[in-house]
Amino acid sequence: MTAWDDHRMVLLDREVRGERGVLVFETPSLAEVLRPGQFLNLEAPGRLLRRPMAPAVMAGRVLVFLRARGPGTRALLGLAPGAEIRALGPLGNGFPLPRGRGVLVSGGTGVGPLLFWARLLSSRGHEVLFLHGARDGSEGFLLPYLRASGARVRFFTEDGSLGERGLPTDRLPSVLRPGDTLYAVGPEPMMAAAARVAAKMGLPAYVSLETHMACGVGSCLSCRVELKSGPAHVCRQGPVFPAEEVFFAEPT
Amino acid sequence: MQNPLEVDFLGVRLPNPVVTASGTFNFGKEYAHLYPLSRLGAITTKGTSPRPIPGAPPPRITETEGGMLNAIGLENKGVEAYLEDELPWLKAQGARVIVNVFGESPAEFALVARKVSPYADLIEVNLSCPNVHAGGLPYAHDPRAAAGVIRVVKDATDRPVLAKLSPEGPTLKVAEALEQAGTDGFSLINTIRGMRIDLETRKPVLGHRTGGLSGPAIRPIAVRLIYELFQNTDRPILGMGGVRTVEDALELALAGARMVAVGTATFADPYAPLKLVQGLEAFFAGSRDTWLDWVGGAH
Repeated sequence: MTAWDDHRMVLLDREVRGERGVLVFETPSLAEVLRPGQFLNLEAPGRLLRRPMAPAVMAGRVLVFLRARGPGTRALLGLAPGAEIRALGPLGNGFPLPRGRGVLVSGGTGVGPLLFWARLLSSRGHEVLFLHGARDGSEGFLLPYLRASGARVRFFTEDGSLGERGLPTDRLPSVLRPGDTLYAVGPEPMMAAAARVAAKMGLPAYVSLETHMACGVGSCLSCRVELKSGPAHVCRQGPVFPAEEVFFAEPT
Repeated sequence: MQNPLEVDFLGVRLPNPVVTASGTFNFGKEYAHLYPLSRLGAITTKGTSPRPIPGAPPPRITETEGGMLNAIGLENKGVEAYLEDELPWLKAQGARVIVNVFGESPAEFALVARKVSPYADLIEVNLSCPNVHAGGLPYAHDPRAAAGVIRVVKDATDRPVLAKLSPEGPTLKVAEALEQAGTDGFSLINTIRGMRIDLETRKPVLGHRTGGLSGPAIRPIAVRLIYELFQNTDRPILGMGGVRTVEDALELALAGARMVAVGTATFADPYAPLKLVQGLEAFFAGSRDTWLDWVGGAH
């Protein structure tokens, strides 16, 4: 595994749809060493602390999918092409290989690391099914990226305005089959639902946890989580954990 | 040629005055592949208690204008783990080591100080932790309780002892009491308690509700307190509070800091302490002054 360092990234292009978007960076030194599921601690213009985000690497470029949640993420989405920012990485552990077919379920910005994973798995000959859930059609800009991942893609919207109507996790019981390995990255209720289905069917499942972080590298101890096996720091032992290790809130 | 950054601090010779602040560099291992830890003046290690402490509920940090709040809750693995895995390793890197210690009682402070002494060039006593025997009031806010800690720590170790002061409470009165209790030097400032409230949940952002404010926002408070303390003591001062640049470090030096620590800046840039060393080297390379000529220069 490559030791992390502080890398320079140059923004080549961006696609912004309202509060969501994707930033496309040129950063050869990172693109070569990042593994799917790992994350970067990204400088946010004008802000003190960096922001942890799991990117995709596609065609040698580093793609960061993000939603404006505060001044830091807003500043990132507002970067103009040509802008340079720093990124610490590669950080964290990444996804473990599937036994058989990989079934990937994403929501929100969780699409980034799973696109990267879909791309790598399909290029290695794994069968990959990718389900993405969006609130509405405003995430339609993701479709070309999903289609370029090499996976079989199913796109869901809660309002049915694009693709299939409903939540991808509701379809999992009919989609999953013995031998599958499930990867879920997105909002916690979505990961919790995916984890419950996988547990019921006795399938291995992995989720990627998101916490507040300052350093991203193991020194500030901000990102501690309690797992069933004991405490862990998301930046070092994660962000990817076996779903069965995670305490999820019960559905309401 | 003489190294213009060399500092003698309570008998410890340092190649430069740049130190990491406790809790912002762990025990150094995370950063050792970036640059030799011996390039820094010294490493201050994560606060260490007699037993492991799990720490505060999440979220533990949040950014503010010009700073951040943290409530890690003193999470640490306990002194035995660090004696095994971290302190001998850190010493073997050729680094000068300042070990930050704390406990629930004066005896616990002393126990940790005694155990870490073989690996410590200096002991920094974290007096900002709550005194559970006095309703949770931090030792650093109570001159008598703080002096009681320093007295037993001094007896427990042959290493020079720094008392880490809080910017809250009667800082100068506490410092005076600690000097009488025998502290060899001071470090300041610790963070300042603050709070952020989320407009959506209408609840405090941090799991612990309050957290310690650090970063550039608190630097003027650090400069003021270092300046005032310098006028009241002849013991050496390790200054900290929002330091990142050469200018920041020189400002603290003028106020009276003989060494300066980089803390929050390291979270933003892991190279920040090294860059400060390099920046100071460049600054003094073209100067007839030395670092020590600047210390206390504002008085």
